[in-house]
Amino acid sequence: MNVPVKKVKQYVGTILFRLVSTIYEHIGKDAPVQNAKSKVLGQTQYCADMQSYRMLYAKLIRSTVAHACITRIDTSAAEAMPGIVAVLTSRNTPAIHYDRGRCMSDTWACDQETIFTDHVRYIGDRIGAVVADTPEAALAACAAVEVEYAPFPAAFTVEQTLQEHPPIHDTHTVYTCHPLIYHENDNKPEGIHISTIAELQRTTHLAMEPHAAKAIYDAGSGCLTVHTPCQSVFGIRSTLNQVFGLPMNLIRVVKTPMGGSFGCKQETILEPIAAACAIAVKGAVLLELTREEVISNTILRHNGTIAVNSIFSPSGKCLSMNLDCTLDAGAYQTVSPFYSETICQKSGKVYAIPNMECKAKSVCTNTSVNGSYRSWGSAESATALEFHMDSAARRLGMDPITLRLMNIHNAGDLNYLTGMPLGNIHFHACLEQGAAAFNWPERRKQAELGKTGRYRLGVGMALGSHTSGAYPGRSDLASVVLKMQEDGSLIATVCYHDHGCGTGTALKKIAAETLRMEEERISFEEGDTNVSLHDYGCYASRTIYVTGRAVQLAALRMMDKVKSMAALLLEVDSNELEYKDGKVFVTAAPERFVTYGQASMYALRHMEQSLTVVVDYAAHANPGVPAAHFAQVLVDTYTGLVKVEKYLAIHDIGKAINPAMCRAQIGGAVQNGIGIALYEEVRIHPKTGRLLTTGLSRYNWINAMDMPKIEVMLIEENEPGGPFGAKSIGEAALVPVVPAIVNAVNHALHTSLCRLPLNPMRILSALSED
Amino acid sequence: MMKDIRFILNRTSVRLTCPPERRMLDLLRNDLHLTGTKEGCGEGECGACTILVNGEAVHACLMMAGQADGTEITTIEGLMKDSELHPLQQAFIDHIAVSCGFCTPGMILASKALLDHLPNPTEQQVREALAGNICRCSNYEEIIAAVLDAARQLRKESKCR
Repeated sequence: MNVPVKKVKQYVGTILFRLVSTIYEHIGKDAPVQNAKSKVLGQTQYCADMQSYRMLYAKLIRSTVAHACITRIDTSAAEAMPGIVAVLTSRNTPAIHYDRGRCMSDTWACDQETIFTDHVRYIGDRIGAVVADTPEAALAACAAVEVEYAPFPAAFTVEQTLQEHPPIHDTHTVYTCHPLIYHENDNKPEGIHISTIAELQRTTHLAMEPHAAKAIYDAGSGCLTVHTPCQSVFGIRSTLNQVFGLPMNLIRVVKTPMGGSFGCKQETILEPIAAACAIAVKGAVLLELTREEVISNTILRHNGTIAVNSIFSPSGKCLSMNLDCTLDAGAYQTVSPFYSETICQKSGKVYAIPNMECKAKSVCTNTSVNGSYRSWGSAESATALEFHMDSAARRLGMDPITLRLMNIHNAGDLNYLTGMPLGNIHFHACLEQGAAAFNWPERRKQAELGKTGRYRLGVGMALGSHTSGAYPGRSDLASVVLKMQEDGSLIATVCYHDHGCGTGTALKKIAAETLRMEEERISFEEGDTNVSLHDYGCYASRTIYVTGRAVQLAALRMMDKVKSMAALLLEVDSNELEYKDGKVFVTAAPERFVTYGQASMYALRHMEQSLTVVVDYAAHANPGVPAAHFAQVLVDTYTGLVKVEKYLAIHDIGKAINPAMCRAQIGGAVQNGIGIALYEEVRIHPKTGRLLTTGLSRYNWINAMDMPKIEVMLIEENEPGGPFGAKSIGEAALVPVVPAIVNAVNHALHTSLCRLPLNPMRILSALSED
Repeated sequence: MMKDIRFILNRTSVRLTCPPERRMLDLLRNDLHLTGTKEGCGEGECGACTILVNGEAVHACLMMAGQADGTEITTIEGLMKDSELHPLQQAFIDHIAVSCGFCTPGMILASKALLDHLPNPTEQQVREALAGNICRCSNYEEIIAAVLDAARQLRKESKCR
């Protein structure tokens, strides 16, 4: 496959033109995350660091049985132990069913969880909590709680549930989604049949910060406050309001600095428990999980299967495709129905296939709960589809990239499954420029030469896309308050939830660039339900495209206000003014100026107003963010170990607000994806339901020694609806990684493996079958 | 059973009484209120709890308080001197090597242990030294660049003395 040299030169020319024509002070410049200094000093207070006077500690009492009802629970011995302040169970906490995935009160969900349960549904399920003056005392008391169970039949695999129908839930033990169907016409296509199955494994997000929540109940004011590393302060508040019956004005949820999420901190898990403890003791309670509890009791990435059957023409055009996704939800459905539905929806984002049918179901088992993971289905969909496309390419004797080029969507196309516009997408550019930079044809040829001997080279690629918000699935509203202080500095109230990826810095840059003032004189505080305007949360990679756009619009309105004050002060018309470096000056006579501070003080003193802007902004578009990843691997056929030697990631990002952090995000995503493809697996015993991966000593990931260098290319074609043209990157970065590695390994070994992870055992087993 | 324990912590003498089997991590965080050292896994796999004990990188989650007796211990709080960031801390900021920051204290101290023993490491040696510290947010490139840059700074400083 040859990339025309003229095209590459044209593109380079376009970049140079853009560089010359748009010089930004802040946008496109590398910057550290906003609290980097505090972090290197060890001063950043994560939730578990927030010690306070007379704070108490909670520990969970958890089921030792996979599926049972509790016939007797005796907490008297625990209560009598020194330092114990309270013991909570289902008997003394609200019995209201709620859903951890809910981010607004009126959303439908399966609502299968209660704070604590008498019907335990997996080993580790929450029976109660002990609150004590030290964590050690709480832990000791947990062990003294006596529990008797009457077991129910249990199922530990999807197949078991579907065959044996264990009574896990009254409704929605199995949730079947409405199929998504698109047929361009009534013709029945004929051609070459391709059939693949991607088998996905459970993994843990491995965010470095274990989950924690600190709740404070002030009996005097009746106010409940919960500090938590989370992605939706208002979502959590809506559940606390539902469960405890406190009005929302008396519930305050504050986001703490987050030590990584990748999806594991986006659901309401610990907050109702911590709140129940705080209300019981009328004080402050910290609930902090161990790593084993994080693996067992929070969220795991879904295990399941995605079967893809398609018909291709001999020339490589995909004529029809059926996708059938079955996910293991674990013990509670939570977000799994929506997650499996979303995998179907996202399967229409990359390829323009004239006939598509997508089915999905999520099935409960008596195992740890599966749920949100970075890219919410885009990565799972890409794993299945990209493995499938490579299988088709092999079958048809075509180059994998040539096959993709024949089937990808163009800019302006619709997702056939949902009817929604895909936006200003550049799949062609990602493929062509990425392939050229990676030297695709030469590397493939080189790899195909050495198919004997101990070490086998493989070269693979994968495409992917994702969202820049949640429109039109929901009203994608972001609300911003900007308050200019009397010295011209700015306080911005924006309900954002930084995962540690520097969205705060990016929002600051957007504000600073628009207002033409120093970044240091702008403060952004994260989500706090008492301070922020309502926001449904940090999901779907919306923070830059939607919230950032709201910040940009608010900043433009602020400038109008500042200029109107300056106009009065300088006795000219607003349109005779320019602004730069925190000053507003007369264009024709720049020595005549006022500072933003002077304008602000003038407003307060003489105009009986403050310089405050409130903006509600709703996105009415949701551009896709195509990406292509290319990998070269070396497989050791003696050990089954795979070394990723070379890696290139090209992303259609719109505009990189902070390029260094975009590269870091891509880097972290590639690390995670290599892990999912080759090493990571949370294992649960299929006969007993016991968690076998009880800690990191039983988990494998890729570390500093084995990480390859990653070449990153960013296509910045400026998306019109995004702030300074930006779309999204945080989740898109993960989407193509797993299939790029899988395709490379299969290229090396002439295999068709997609049972993840492709660990040494599986690779050696496949080789021995040859 | 309680034991009298004395050690130097961040250049200051500490004397306290506690059960000798108490985890050093809990002593630092809960008793001395130094929360810069983090708990990530509790079994010495992630490196988030890395501290320096007599100049060696040690997992505080695997160390007992009794073992601190008579030692010199440095935590992340002890790196800054006279309000000046340690070159490693400055390099981590300058090279955009900090994302969520949870691994950062452990990563910086593991790097310091390396540079104190090996002032002119290769990239490969830096990767080896940091193999026990997980950064889940990045691909380590920026961290490695920061460590190599700090190494250069420290070599320059030691030449000037």
